[in-house]
Amino acid sequence: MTQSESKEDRHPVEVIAEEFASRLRSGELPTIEEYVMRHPQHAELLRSVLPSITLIERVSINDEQHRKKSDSQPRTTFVNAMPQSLGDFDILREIGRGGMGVVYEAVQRSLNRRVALKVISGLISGNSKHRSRFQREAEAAASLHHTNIVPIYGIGEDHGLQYYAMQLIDGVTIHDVIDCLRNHAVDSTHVGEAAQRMLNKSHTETAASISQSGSIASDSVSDARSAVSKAKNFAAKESKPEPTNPIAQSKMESIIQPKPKPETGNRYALTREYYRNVARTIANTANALSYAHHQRVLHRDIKPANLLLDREGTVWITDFGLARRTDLDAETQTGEILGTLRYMAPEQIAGSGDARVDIYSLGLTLFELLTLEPAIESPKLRLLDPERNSIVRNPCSLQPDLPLDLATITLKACAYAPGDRYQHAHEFEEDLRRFVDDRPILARRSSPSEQLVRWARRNPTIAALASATLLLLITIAGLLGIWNRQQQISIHEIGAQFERAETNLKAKAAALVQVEQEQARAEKNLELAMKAFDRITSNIASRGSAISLGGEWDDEEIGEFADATLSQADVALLESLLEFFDQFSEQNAKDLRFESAVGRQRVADIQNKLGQLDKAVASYQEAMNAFRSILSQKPDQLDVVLPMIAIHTERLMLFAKRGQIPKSLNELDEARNLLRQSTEVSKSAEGRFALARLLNSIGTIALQFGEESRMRTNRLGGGRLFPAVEAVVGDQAARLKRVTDANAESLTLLKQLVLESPENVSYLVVMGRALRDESRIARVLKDMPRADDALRRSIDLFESLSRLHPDVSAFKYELADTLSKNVGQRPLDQQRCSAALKISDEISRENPHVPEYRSLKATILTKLSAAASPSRGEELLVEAVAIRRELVDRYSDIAAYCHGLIQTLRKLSELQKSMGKDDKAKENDELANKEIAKLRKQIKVPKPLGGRLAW
Amino acid sequence: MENSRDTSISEERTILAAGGQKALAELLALHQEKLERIVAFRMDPVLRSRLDPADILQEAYFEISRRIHEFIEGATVSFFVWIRQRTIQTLIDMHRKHTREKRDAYREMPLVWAPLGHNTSISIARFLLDDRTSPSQALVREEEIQGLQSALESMNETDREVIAMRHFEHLNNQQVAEVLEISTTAASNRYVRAAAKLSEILSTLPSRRPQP
Repeated sequence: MTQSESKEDRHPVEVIAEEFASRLRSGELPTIEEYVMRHPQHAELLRSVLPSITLIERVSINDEQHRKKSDSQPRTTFVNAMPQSLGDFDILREIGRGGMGVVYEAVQRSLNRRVALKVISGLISGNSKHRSRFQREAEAAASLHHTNIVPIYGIGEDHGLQYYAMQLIDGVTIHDVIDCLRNHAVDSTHVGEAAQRMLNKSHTETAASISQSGSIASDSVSDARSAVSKAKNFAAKESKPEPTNPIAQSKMESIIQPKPKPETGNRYALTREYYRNVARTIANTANALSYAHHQRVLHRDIKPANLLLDREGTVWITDFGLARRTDLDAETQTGEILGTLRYMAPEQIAGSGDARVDIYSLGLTLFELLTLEPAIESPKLRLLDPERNSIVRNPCSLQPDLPLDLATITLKACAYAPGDRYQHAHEFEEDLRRFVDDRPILARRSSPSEQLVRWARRNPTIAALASATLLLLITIAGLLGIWNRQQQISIHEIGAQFERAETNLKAKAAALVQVEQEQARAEKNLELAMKAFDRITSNIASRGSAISLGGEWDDEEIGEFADATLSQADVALLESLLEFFDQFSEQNAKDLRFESAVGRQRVADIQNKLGQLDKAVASYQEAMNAFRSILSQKPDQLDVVLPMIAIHTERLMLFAKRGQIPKSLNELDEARNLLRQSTEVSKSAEGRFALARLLNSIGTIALQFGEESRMRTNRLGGGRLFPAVEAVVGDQAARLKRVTDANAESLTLLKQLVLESPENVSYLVVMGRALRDESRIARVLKDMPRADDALRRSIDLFESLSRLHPDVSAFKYELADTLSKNVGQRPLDQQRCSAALKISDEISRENPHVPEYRSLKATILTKLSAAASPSRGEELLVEAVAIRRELVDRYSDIAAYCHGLIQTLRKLSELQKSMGKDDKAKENDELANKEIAKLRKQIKVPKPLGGRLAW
Repeated sequence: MENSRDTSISEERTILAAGGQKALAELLALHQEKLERIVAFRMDPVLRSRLDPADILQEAYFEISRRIHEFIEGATVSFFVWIRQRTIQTLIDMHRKHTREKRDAYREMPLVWAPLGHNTSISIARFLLDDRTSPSQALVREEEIQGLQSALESMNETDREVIAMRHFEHLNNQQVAEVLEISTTAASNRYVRAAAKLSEILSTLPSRRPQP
């Protein structure tokens, strides 16, 4: 740039001052008088100005002082000319520059051997701290003797410069080899040959061919370097402040000249042989490190540029420039950041670390050799947030062909936490050798949960939310696991999904550039996780009912139904999950309103089954509101309408249970309106099926509760837990008609559905139930032939279902239930009831953990007792009481089981009284009263479990 | 003279347009040392406690490579002066980001040039007070440093900037001319005037006249 200026345009004193200052900067001590004599016409001005310039230039800090912290790039740090000789050494030329000095090729006169001479920067050597570090470095390095460590010959000081001599290695750095492979520039240069050696040929072969070529040591490193693309980063620098024109010019020309380099497929396909060579090379390096560590010497700056490959393919660790003796940790412990940022272990950045920092750095070097990409993408960011920016990608994502074992070894070596790495270099070496020899490696891939834990350690804020879920999921897994191993598998699925979501979130944090894309992916994975999660929650919700028709009727899935029971804890669990949904919806862009609504519905289902009817009503209302708001945005959405109808169905039954028949019927009307509004849904099979179930349920509820409540109101004395609902059945003919019509409509719909899809067992099951209800309605209407006919058809249907699916206990349950309904005094009724007992006994034994099966058995025993002799009746009732007692003990918060126990105890008490066993009768009556008291307490004072869990 | 500068600017533009990121990297490498100096000189101690000058430079490089089209399409200053502006702007931005400082017209660096005002004297003071351990500074007596500091502070902004750019940032005359948007002749004269002025102030301080 100065070339365009002619000196005539400038003030002569300014030109002189510039020269003067530049000489000062280069270390000269020009005198003012010299200039005064040369320019007498400006004598006065020069005498005035130059002293000030001297002062400023002396005070102005030298470049070096600004650099000492940023050793991340090679520096051309000093302006001193190359010394001609130092002590016993004649310097031939410069071959490289490191963090603290320049490496020259030199000849040792006394021994007439070629050596590499590392000279500490003149300015640095002025600093006592740097001086002592240099001393230590040489000392440490000189004490090491290993075939893969560049030996130190000696140390010296001359002309105020400190230096040490080491063996001159005729080789190239691994950094250059990687560069060469990455740029697809494997050519006839030294580096190219080294790269070629790594790529396919065995070491010895190539070594022979190269030594034949007989090239000498002197053209090694620098030629190799020049072969590598020059402008790879900002490392290339001019050593003089003002670049002379021709150099700058030629550099610029070289820039615009396109280099002949294939643009597509920009890298070599790495061969299996290459991976083995790499593994071998790194294993040898690890061996050398292991040796050094045993000598209590750390390298602390392992990186591709510090590993040389000679012509035999032997690897040499060089530049123990930052090594420190582990037993002498004086000044280097200042927390100063040393080493190359890109390859430094996280704890090293924080200013600490042990031998495992070398393992980490060697791991990153291995990573780079395997993928030709640096493992740490943004070293700069590591300073700001070393935790977040030290995450090593899976090398397989960059190099799909990479053998899995090698990827595992790499990831283990550069694990974030030192404790997760190889603890000793020899372990690292051992695994690499195992890979080379095709033996199984010792490192194992971290399991999803381990990865999750590690991830959580690194991302405390993001993880806090996710780990809350995970904890809950684990809790659910625990709950389900007690009964069902299969459930564990789906927990693993969830774990895997969350892991995938985690990976994406992780990438999201790292690559801000692709935020949108990553987010979309993360959300997709979250969705998958949610689906898996949904399966679990629906499973919880379906527990407690003998059979659920909500899910798919795949054979495998049927087995999952009713395979456990539910408890108050489930409600609490689900409630805290709902909290999570809400949090997630607030904090993320992801809309989880639907999931949240479904979750609320499930909570309501469980509360309902637990007899917490008030809470259930409230929860159903919340769920309903949530669904409505979604529906207002997406009308005609089957996914939304169906759960809404399900809620109406549940509420219908719930109100019926409480005797609030108008409210109950109102639910029916609302559901029908809903279906009417969404024509698509009402036309669909799902919609019609939902309606059929709804219609059927009103019949069921009216009949069941009409029948049972009569019994209950009599027996529970003042403790009428459910208001009487017999109004529906007997007194109000109009309502009875409605129920009849509803069930008839349900049957019509179901018949149509069965005709359309005869293979759909859900339709058949509901049809069987509708027929059962039909039979009961007919009986109420005193239409006995119709009642018998409907019952027979229902039994036939469940019998054939049981025959077709002998493994599905749920069908047998329905069959037994149907057989035991309608028990009259006819021999046929008794026969059916005995068959029902047999079946219920069978399924109870096969599925001892399903309370419904045992409950049914108790019910059937009770029914049989009515027709049996008093002594046989007592036997049957005692057995029923035992079953019910057991159920109550285990599921104390399920009201229905308590009712069952109370009823059975009362029956037993009455029977015993009639048999004259007054003591026993009284005892059982007291027991029944106790249960009533307990039940009252439970229903009036809900358990204060809240949203928090105490696992 | 202006023409030759324009020619060199247009050359730089051509090179950058044709050579892409690679050319940029190489051009930046040519100037790296100076930019490091500039960052070291201008960097606020608050910021320095959080970031390494190398980080600022990396950030500046990122900015430069992102906005290089601005230079290629509409450069009126040479590449070096442009990247210097960008680097100083990055420094100001980073400082603002790290100190949560409100926008301050003073620190707003216009695209072309405005004196950095008191910032320069702050920088000088810090520069002078930094790292006393260096051997060259050991030769300088404490009172000389203080004298120089107060002398620089008593100068007018432009004179101080000229001295700072020449002796702390190591800019040459033409670069100073470009920054100040004046001719090289004017820049040259300005420098001599400023240097003379500085010497005059220093000479008025008793017994602080530096010994050559």
